Order: sequence, then C-alpha cells, then structure tokens
Amino acid sequence: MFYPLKNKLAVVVIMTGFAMCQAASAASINFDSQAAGTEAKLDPVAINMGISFDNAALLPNLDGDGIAIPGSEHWQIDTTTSELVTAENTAAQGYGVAPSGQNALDARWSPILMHFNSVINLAGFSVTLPNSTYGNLAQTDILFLDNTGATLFDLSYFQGHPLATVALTTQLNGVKDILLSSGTFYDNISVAAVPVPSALWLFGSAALGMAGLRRRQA
Amino acid sequence: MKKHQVLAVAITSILAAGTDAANALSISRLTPPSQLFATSGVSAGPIISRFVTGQRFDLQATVRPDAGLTITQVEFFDGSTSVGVANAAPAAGVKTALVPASAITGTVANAVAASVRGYSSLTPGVHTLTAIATQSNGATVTATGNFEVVGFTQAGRKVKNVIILLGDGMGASHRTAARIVQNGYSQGKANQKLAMDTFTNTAMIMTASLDTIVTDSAPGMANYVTGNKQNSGQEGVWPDDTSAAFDNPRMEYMSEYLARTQGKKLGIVTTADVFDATPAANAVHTSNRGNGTGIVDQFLDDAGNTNLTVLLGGGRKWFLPNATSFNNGFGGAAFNGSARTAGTDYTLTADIKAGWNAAAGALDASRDLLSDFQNAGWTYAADRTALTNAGTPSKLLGLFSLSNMNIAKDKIDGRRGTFPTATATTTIVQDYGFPDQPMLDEMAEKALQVLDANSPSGFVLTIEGASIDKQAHQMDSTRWIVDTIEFDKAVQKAKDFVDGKGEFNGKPHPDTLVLVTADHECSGAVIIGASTKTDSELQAKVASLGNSTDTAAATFGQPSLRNAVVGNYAAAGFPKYTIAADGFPQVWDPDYKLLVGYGANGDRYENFRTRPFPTNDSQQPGNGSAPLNAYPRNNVSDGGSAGTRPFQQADGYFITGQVPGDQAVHTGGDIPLTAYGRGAGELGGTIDNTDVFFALMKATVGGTTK
Repeated sequence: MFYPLKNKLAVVVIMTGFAMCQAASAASINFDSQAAGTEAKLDPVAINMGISFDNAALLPNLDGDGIAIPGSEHWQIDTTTSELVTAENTAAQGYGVAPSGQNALDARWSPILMHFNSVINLAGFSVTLPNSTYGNLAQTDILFLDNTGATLFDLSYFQGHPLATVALTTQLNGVKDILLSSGTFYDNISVAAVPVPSALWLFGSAALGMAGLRRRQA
Repeated sequence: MKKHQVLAVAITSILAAGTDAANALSISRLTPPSQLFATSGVSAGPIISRFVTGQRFDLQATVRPDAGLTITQVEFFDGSTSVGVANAAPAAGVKTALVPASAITGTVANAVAASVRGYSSLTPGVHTLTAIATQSNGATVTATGNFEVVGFTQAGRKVKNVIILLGDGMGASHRTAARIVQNGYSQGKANQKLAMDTFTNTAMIMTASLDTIVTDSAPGMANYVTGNKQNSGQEGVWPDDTSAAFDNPRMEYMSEYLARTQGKKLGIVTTADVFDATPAANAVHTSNRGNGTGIVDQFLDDAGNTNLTVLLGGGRKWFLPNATSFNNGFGGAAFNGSARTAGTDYTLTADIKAGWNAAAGALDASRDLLSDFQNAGWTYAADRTALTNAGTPSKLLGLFSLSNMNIAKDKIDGRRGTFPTATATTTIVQDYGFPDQPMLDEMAEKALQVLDANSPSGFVLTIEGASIDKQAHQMDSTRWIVDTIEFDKAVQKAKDFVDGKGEFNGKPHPDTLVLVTADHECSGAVIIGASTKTDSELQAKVASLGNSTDTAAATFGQPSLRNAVVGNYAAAGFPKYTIAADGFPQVWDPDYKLLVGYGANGDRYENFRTRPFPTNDSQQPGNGSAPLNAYPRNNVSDGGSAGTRPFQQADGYFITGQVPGDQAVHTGGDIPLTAYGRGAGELGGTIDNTDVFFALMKATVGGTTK
C-alpha cells in the first residue's frame, strides 16, 4: 500500500501545483476608493492582487564602479526621480471625467511599471483610456515583460481616443511586469492573473514525488 | 562655322532657352523646403525640413504656367499616397486652395500658389514629397522634394515644464562681461558664477536661418520652437510667392503641438514690445515681423490653439484703439499712443482657417484689444504694483509701456531716483511715462507662479532679455551689460523654481527643463580689457583729448583717447564694481572700469563712459514728441545736432565701423546654450538651433533619463 500511497501523494502534490497555476484571479483596478493625489499602489484591489506601480525608465545595468554597461538598457524602476506614481482626478487635470467615475492612474509624465509580486500567467488584461483627445500622437506600446525584463508581448495602441479600451487578446505566461506607456491616464485596469508557483517550489514538489516513486521501485 | 559664329549661336540658344524657361510650365517653389528640390534631384541632403510625429505643416507649390494658359490643379503626394488636391479658390472648411501667386503674377501671368494646409504624418523616416501640377491644356509638370518625420521611443520620465530663457543677442562675451561686472574676479577666478554659469550642461548652437548665415530674431527664435528653418523676418512660416504677410505656409509651434497633445499652457515674458520678433515667434505665424496689429491680435484670437496664459512685456500701443491720446504725466506733450493700423493687421483665407483651426481675423485698427483680453477672462496689470498685487489669476496680461520697456539700467535709476544729468528734473522712465515698470526677474517670478497654479499638464514659458540685443546694436556697453545682469536674475528665478528655493522655497519642480540661450550674437562684442584710469581721470582725458590723434612718431595718427585709456593684458587687471542693495552696480562708471570692443560695429564715437540717455527708440509712439524727441538718435547720423540734449558721444574718438550704417549688427558665430533640470543631458555638443527643438520634444514627448 505504501507504494501506491506514496505515488498518489506525489501525483497529488504535482496536481495541486498545476491547479494553482490554473486558478485565475480577476479584478479591475479603478483607484476610485482613494483620494486623488495619493499613491496608486494604495488601491485595495491592487494590494489584494499583489500589484504595485513604479515610475519606469530604460536604464542600463551598472558595473562594479557604477559605470553604465553599454547595451544593457532595459526597463526598470526609475532611479532618476523621486516623484510618486499617483492616482489623479482626471477631470481636475483637464482629461475629462474618468471612465470609472473619478480617478485614474496618472501616466502622463512617466511610463509606469505595473509590477506583480510574483510571476503570473496572464489570462486577460485591459485598460480604458480617459475621455480626452490628449496623448502621444504616434503609436505607442504596452509591454509585457518577464522577470528578466525581456519583452514577452508588445500591445500597440493609439492614445488620444476618448474612452477607448485597449485589451490583450491572448494568454501570456511568465509575466512579471507590465509597462504602461506614458502620455495618458489608465483606468479600469483589468487583470486576470494565474499565479505561477516559484520554479523552486515546482521543482521541489515534483522531485519529492519522483523520489517517492523511485524509492518504492527500488 | 567660325568660332565667333559658334559663339553667337550658343548665346542665342542660351537666351532662347532662358526665355522659354521663364515662360515654361514649371514648379518654381516646393514647400517644405528641401535640398532635393533645390538641386533638382542632385542632392537629397541635408534634410532641411524635419517634424516630430504628428506635427502639422503646410504643403505648398508655386506653379508657373505656359504663357496664355492657367493651372487647373496641383496634387500632392507623400510617397505614393495622394494627400490633397488644390484645384479651387479657398472655400469654407476646405484645407486645400489654389490662389494667385500675387508677388510674381506681375511678371509671370497666372502663376499660382497651391496649398494643402495642416498636413501631418505619423510615419517616422524620410518622406518624398511630390507635387504634380496640371495646366489648362492638360500638360503636367512634377516636382519632388523631401522631409523627415522624427519619431521618439519612450525612455523615461517626461519633462513637464519647459522654460526657455533667451538673452537676445547674447553671445559668450555678453555673459562674461555680466559676470565680471556683477561678481568680479580675484587672482584670475570669478568670485561667483552667474546663475546661467551654474547650469549643468552646455552646447554650442549654430544660428543660421533659412536664407542667411546671420540671422535675425524672428527665425532665431522660431527655429528653436518649430524645428525648422525660417527666412529673415519670418515667424512660424516658410517663404511663399504671395504678397500677403499672414498667408504663408505654416509649421506648428512647440506651444501649439504641446497644447494640442498635452494641454500645456504657454507663457511669454519679454522686456521688449510683445509684438517683437522673439515673443511673437512662439505663437504667431507671419512673414513680416513688423505687422504688429495682426501679431498681437493673433495672440488673443488663437489663444485656444496655443493655450497662451501669461503675456508680459511692453507694447500697449497695439492694444489701444487707434487715436488714443497719451502723455507721460510728467510734462510731456500728448500724442497718439496707439500704433494700430489696418496695414499691419491680418485676415486669413478659408484654407488656413480650416487647416489650423485659426481665427478669421479682421482689419480693425479701432479694436480695443485690451478690453477684448479682459473680456476673455484675462487679468490686466499695467505696472509693477498691479503685477505684484495680481495674485495668480487664470490668465495674466501685463503691458508696462507703450512699446519696448525701459532698459534695466534706466529702470534701476528710476527706482533710485537718479536723474540722467545734473540739470535733469525727470528720470528716464518718467520721460517715457512709465515710472513703475517691473524688472525681468519680477515678471519671470510672477509668470512662474501663475503658470504653476494653472497648468496641471505643464507649460512652456519663454522669457526674453530683449535689450541685450537692442543696446548691443547701439554699442551702449553699460546698458546691455546691465540688461544681461537683469536677465541673469530671471535665470536664477527659473533655477529656483526647479530646485524649490528662493521664492519657490519648499516646492521644487524637478520635472522642469530650463534652457538659457540666445537667438544670435549681436555686435561682435568682446572683452578688450579695462580702463587704466579712475573715472575722474577718464573724464579729464575725454575733455582734453576728445577726438584728437597722437602726434608722436611711434603712434602718429592714432586716437589719443584710446591710447591713453585702454589697458589690456596685465594692464587690465580685474575691474571691480560695487554692488548695491538692489543687486545692481552702485555706479555705472567705476574707476578702472571694464572696456568692451565691437567686431561688428557701425560708425561711432567712443569715450568709454556710460551714456546719460538711451538712444532714441524708433518703436516708441512718442519718440517724435517732447521729451523723447530730444533723446539722442545715434552717434553719427545726427551729425552732432541732437536737439536740446548733448550729442552723447561726440566728445569721444571716432571709430570707423566694420559694417555700413550707425548700428552694430548681428553676427553669425555660434552661441552658447546652457541647460538645467530634467532632460538637460539631451543637450550638448555643437548643434543646430533646430536640433534644440527635437531635444526638447524628445524630453517632453518621449521622456528622458538624462
């Protein structure tokens, strides 16, 4: 009985991990429950989903002497500014009433890294633009980044189209950050996320199961 | 055939070809300008006309038909895509038009200017522009040019506010002279830097305009804020072949672009008349910088396109209805204080209105523009006291004199109660009728406060120290040096705004980029050394030597006054000026004073001392009435008979000018630009003045990490 039990345990562990991978949590962040001008990362839905917001910049890695390494530029938290990422009342900023009614994420002045506290698989993502014609005239991009900063997917769109919704139509796995391009506000940030257990946890649980299997076989 | 016969045939052929060419169907101008068109396809570069993605500009072609025929249409292509067909006179709501090329129709019958207004492209790269004109007999002619659209990739945080401090005519020596006078040197080191010296980044700027290596202030400013070269005397437009001054093909200003895409506000502050070239070249489109009535009307009429929010300077004469009586309040004669005329006013054709969402305009010399501003919600300040008390209204207009404001030295003398001569009973600012004028730094501070309070999406603010140039033209060294010092105090205000210091203590604005630059250098000013005399000794030398020349063999025929006074190298030492509590030199002529020479001078007399009166300003409506009519007009052309006032420099020695006339001129040398704040690192090296626009737009649209 031990063999089947141990074998079943291993299977259960692996299946549990798989199931956790697949259990999507979906929510929409609208920043309306907080005061205008406060940090966007204080939105309770964002906190609940393990999402934070930081100013982003295309910066290089630095060597041990603090010298920029050529060609190492990638999107990361902007260390050149101390400005906070805030939710703002769009109407008060001249961008019309926010799609959600009051506030929206203020990305007018900086690209923003929407940072997940763990790597996720993204089953769905969309944002709504403000009710304004302001924005960059050229095509701009929302980038989906993995945990190395590499771009997984480039979602192109045009700003300045009032109340337009920009949506991801494919599932993306292994997302750590979403780079929201600057030039506008973002509201009703909808995320359907599937948490991915850490590689170590997956490896460990799988190894445990396999070890039990092998011991029984021996 | 003999040689002379061959020659005769050749000449006849050339003449015949030339005649045919003059009358042949052709496209003689294609706008935007390009080398590809100018060289008939021989050279594609350099790319003359560049735009940021989505920046608006007009397409235009001048077409000359065959004799007796007409042009029926002109079609424009961006690459292979048709972007407009001009085949009719201007009509409401239509962005294309075919109009007579009125400047040349006297010699080329039926020549036309065909336009597509307000075009833009979102596709980065070099574009080929083609115009195909069709004649009434069905014949066609094609012309090809090019332009570039510059795209930006995101890099980081954007610059929210842009402050351009433009010292008109301010070259490197103007800066140096102000530093020496204001701060002094000790054992070879400046005791303190100017505010503009403390900026973190420096570039050298090539200042040429579209048609010359020596630019004037209109293209000198406009090139910075449109990214494109313009002709002398023109603002926000390219040249054309019509005679109207407000219908030229346009390019979009930075202020218009950022108002349209980001909701930024615009502020303009100047010590000049607000119609003057530098202030107007931030917001107004005209081929004639002198058309003041139309220029100031457009400030208000198109404020919806520029988001103009602050306008401070001189120039009330354009805002008063024609035939508004004015006197200085200190015994001066009354005169017409208005300069409004129909001849300098504007109306726009329907295609321009449609392409640029522009107001129609009207020829209305009787317009009360001051009231119109106020009725549009602007708060008006007529003097320094009103400016101080204005608070932070939503929109602020300040007009502190009829035309150009008084020069810093004369404003300071007014505040100190110093008369120009021992026998004078009125100060210079009283003579002008505006004894309570603000200094430039006071105007800058108020502008920053108002814009900060009303610009949630940021602003563009241009602050001009105008009389650095105007007094360098007059070779009035003291006045342009003091104006440069005044300008630097405004620079300090802008730096304080960034750092949250001074009047802005505790409220930093790190997302602000501040530039200090010039449109061009003026006068070829150089630091030649210092006087070897005390001021009393200098006065004695002036009295005794005047315009005499040396008789000694070694220096025979040389100016005696010059040889007695000018010290260079070690003899110059380090001039020392005492700074008064008001922040300016206590006396204008200290012992062993700084001496300046001019490489682009007109004819003049020099006695090295500060002129008691400024040169008569022809822009002032009252310059022909007492007391301004007695102000010296210039050194030479008055011939020593300048009315009741002493001819100011006739007691000096005569210097033959490098250039014709009695004024120094602009020069074509590169000028320094210094930058501070977010995005300052985008500026460096030796760059064209139009490159500055693209650096600013990268920082404000694409963002920056520098």
